[in-house]
Parts: sequence; C-alpha cells; structure tokens
Amino acid sequence: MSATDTAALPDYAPLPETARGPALNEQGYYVGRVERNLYYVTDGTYMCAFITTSDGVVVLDAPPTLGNNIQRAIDEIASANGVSNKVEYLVYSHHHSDHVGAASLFDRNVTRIGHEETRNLLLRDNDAARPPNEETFQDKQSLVIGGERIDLAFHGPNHSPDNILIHLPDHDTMMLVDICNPGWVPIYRSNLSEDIPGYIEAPANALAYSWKHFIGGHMGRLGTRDDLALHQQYMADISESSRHAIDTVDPTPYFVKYGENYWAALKGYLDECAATTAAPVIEKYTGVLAAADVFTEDVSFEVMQSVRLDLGYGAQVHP
Amino acid sequence: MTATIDAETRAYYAHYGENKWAAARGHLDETTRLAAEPVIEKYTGVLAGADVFTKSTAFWVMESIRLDLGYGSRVHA
Repeated sequence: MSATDTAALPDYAPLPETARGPALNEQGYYVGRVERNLYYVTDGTYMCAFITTSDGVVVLDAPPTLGNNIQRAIDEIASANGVSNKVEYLVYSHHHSDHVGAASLFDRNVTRIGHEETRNLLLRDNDAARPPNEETFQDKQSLVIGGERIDLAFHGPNHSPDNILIHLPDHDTMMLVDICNPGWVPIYRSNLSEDIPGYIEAPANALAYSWKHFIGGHMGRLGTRDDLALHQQYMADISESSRHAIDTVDPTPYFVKYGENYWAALKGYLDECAATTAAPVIEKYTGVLAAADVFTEDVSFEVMQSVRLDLGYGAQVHP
Repeated sequence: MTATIDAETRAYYAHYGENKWAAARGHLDETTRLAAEPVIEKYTGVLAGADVFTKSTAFWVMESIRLDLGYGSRVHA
C-alpha cells in the first residue's frame, strides 16, 4: 500500500470514550498502580504487569512492543518507592510471542513460571526470545513470593491451548490475557482464538473469582467486572444471532451458481451467514465497544463455525 | 524490505490514529493479500478452490508464524 492509497481505506465509527487509556510518556509507555505494589504497564495496545516484593520483582508477561520499557517502568516505580528493581520471577500467561516475546531481556537466572503446555509449546517453537518456563503446573498453583500471593489456574484450552488465569487475591485483581479487551471488541476471529467454546466460557471462569481490577493484556486501560460482563454479552449476542443465521440463510442459490465448485458455493453461503449474524450485533454495539464495525463480522464467522461444528447446531442427517 | 514494511505499517496507523484495530485490520489484510497472491497464481488450475480459500489459509498460517514461531517480532529498544 502506498500513502496515496489511504484515501481508499474504509471509514469507521468514532471510538467511544470507554476505549481510551491514559496518555503515554515520551518513551511510549504508561505505568500505573493497580493496587498497593501491583502495577500495570501499557503502550496503548499491549499491557503487562509487575509486583515489587521483598524477594525482587515479579513480572507478569513481557510483550515485545513494550520490550525495554518494562524495565524502565519498573525502575521508575522502584526508584520512587525505594524498593528493589531486580526482576527475579517471570510468569507467562501463555506461549504467544506477542505477549512474552521480550522474555529473553531478563536475566537467564530469572525463575520462569507457566503452564506445562506453555513449556511444551515453547520447546516446540524453539524461539530464543522466549526461554521455556522451567517451573510448570497442571491445574492450579499458588505462589507466595515476598509475602505476595499469586494464584495460577488452568480451566482448559481457550484463546490458546495453554492460556491461564492469574489471580492476585490480595490485590483484588484478575489477569486473563487475550479474552476481553476492555472497551474494545476482539480482534479478527475472537482474538485469534483456537478453542471457541473455551474462549466463550473463559469470562465466567474469571468472574467466579473475587476481584475488582482486570488486566486483559491489550489496550490502554485496566478493566472491571462490568467490562468482562459486557464482553460476555457481546459474545452471547453473536452466538444467538449465529443460530438465527444458520436457520434462515438459504445456501441453494450459491450451489446453483457455482455447480461443482463446492468450495466457492460454501464460501458464499458461510460468508452470508457471518454477515447475517453480525448485522444486528454491529448495530447494537457501535458506540459501545470500539471497532464493533471493524471486526464483528470476523468474530461472527468463527463463532458461527463453532456453533455449527463444535455444538452441531443446524446439522441435518441425510434421510 | 523491513523498511518498506515499517513504512506501510506506519501508514495505516497514521491514517486511523487512535482506532488501532482499524489500523491492524488494514495492515494485516494487506499482508495476507501479499502472502496469498503468488500461491494463488501458482496453484490455480492445480488445486481446486485455490482462488477461493488461499487467502483465508494464508491469514491463519501467517498468524501462527507470528504468534507461535515469533517470526517478525521486534522488541522495543
């Protein structure tokens, strides 16, 4: 694309005020207190967190877009509070490069903690930027580091096969990455998630815990329980609308037009199902969740496919 | 090549400003189109439906290369 082509790009609805986060500093980040000694760092698109403790700093995720700004943020807070800035622990939410691709910036003796499948996937992917976590767990693990409690839990595959809940009960905080982007709809197909039933179920798993503050791994601001509930409603509306689309969209014209080119017919039919699913949801959420008009059709396609393939809705058995 | 990608990525973000998802869509859709184009050309007439579904396959493969394998990841200085 050249600069002159930008005139041909589509226009989208203005962002709701709830999409905006705090202004970034000259180095391109913002660091803010979540509660007590728990802080979040954002570049406006990605977010991670850290806890300053008497046993050193615990970093929760290391997105490459934040990169060296993570240590700068830690230095800023440690200096202001007269505490250690030395990172001793790194917790991985999941294995994806966009959330832990700056993990190798920290000392190789840092203790890396995550789900056992995160280790398996990082060993498979063999990326020097993401050293595999040596410490693993299966279902639950409760850490106490410098007197601060961090509860890790795995409720099954969702966004990725290894994405975990990070609950900080003494900080009233839940960190669950790549499920709900506070103020925004999910990007592309349900935040590029692999297991849609698990993705849809994940907010309920998080809401079953006690907390006030939500760290979603994306965008500029912290979330709340209301943000997660709004995301849940958005996904439920798409699920319901997709059933209506499966019930009402007629595939016949596509198969008549394309004849033996079954893939062309299927694409026409499923694309119309996705558009039919998305239309009422876009209308409801434009002005409520940012980019509802950008990505709802993509989210709808993936949810509709899951309703059809995972749940078997609309399946017809040949007589 | 990297400079070209950087310039093109910046163009989307400059156009859409604070609507980062709109910018990401423009950038990644264009990257997908560029990834799919030569494959469609090579396989049309060889594998049925190459012109129908190669673009969506290319999108997912590209996302896996980016997220699973870490290809193209750049760490903020």
